[in-house]
Amino acid sequence: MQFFVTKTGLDAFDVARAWGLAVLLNVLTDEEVELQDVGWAFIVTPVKQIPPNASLEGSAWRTLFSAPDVQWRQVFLTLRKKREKLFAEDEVRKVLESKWQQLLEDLQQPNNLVTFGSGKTLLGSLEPAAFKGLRHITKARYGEDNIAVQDGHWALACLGMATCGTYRPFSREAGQENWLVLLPVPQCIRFSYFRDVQQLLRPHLIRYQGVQNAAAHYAVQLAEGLRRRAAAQGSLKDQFSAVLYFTLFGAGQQTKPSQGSQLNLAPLMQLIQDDPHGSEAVLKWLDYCFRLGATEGAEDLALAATELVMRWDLDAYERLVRVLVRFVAQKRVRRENLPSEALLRRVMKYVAA
Amino acid sequence: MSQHKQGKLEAVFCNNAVREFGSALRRALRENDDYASLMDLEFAETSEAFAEALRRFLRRFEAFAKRAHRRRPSENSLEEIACLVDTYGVRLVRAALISHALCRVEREEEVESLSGGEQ
Repeated sequence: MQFFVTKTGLDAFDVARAWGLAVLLNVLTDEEVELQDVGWAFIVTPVKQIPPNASLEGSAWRTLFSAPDVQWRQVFLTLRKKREKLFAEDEVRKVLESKWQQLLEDLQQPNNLVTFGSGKTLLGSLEPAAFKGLRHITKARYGEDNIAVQDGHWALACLGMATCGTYRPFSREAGQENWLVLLPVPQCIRFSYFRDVQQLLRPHLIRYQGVQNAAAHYAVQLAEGLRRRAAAQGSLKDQFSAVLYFTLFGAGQQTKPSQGSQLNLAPLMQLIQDDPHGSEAVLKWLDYCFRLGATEGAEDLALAATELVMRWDLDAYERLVRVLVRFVAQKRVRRENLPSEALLRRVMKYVAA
Repeated sequence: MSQHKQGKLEAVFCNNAVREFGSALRRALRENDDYASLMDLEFAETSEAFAEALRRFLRRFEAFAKRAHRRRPSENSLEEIACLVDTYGVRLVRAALISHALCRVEREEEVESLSGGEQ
């Protein structure tokens, strides 16, 4: 039985729905779910059929709405009214509990479409591209309606973001918190339990020089998590194609989405696939560059490491070694943290010269 | 990232002449604080400027090598580096050289280079 999350062009919304559907099917079947990106859609396939008596009442379902590691509060950050924020989570639960059969039936059709215009407002914390309004100060009057979407798809996206997305306070500006939002795009993965995925998708984040820097470090940590699994299993089974990232910033009365993009994970995935054991040193070294880059006075190292993880070209590679060698000359790098010749040769294999 | 281009940097990095110069640069940086040579190399954009940067590096290295009994890069290596710059361009050779300067070397190799004497 296959389910199709057809893509709408709103990247974060599509990926969040795919994750949400995987979580829902995992709860309903109590078994593994396969998630695959086929270009025009995400295909979600539960290993086991949904039992006829399946319902959303068990402890696995209740955990999703009571566990502190499910980030419901953050998903609704852009809502303005406190009351709305309080009840939004219940709204998701109600929609899914009452409509899951209908929703799954629709999603079994490969030509299912998401219609915009009526239903629930697509939040900026779910999909930055769908957020209405201007992103800068204007003296002109400006007005437009919210982008609304069918409530079933809205609820799936909220569930996906709350369980598999990462929201982290990033910096403070004028007394208001800025948030970093990260969401990995699955290429071909097996989803067994949302906490297993969270372990992989919620790594430890440090002090960053910008949103790209944070996304690049997140990508390296995600790759290390995948590498460990690949080393244990013998080959890379779970693959991700990119990391979507954007920021949310406090704009007076409301939190609004800001800059964002996506980071291509293909070089890192290739690195792991080629040698899950040998790639450990490379990922550790990159992680070290990010951690050293997070210290005061080492900002250029953080940016150089970011550039390499994002671009994997000669310019980026050269910049990283040039910056790091200055740190070596200043005796700021301990001998054991220096890259070996074999490690650099492995990195060079993926650098487009 | 086309496959045929990917091996270039690694090929230059593994070249013996680059290895020799890279290891000299590493020693100059770590033992002689020769930050100026690194700057010279970084700012070299053309093959002429790169040759000039190497010349200055060798001049500084000479004094250090005499004092610390270190092995100097050979003339053949210098010629080979010049050929590599003509073939692959400055950026690639420079990246490979600096990569060697960044590398961690085994303790035995460090000791060996200490007792290498003048050449």
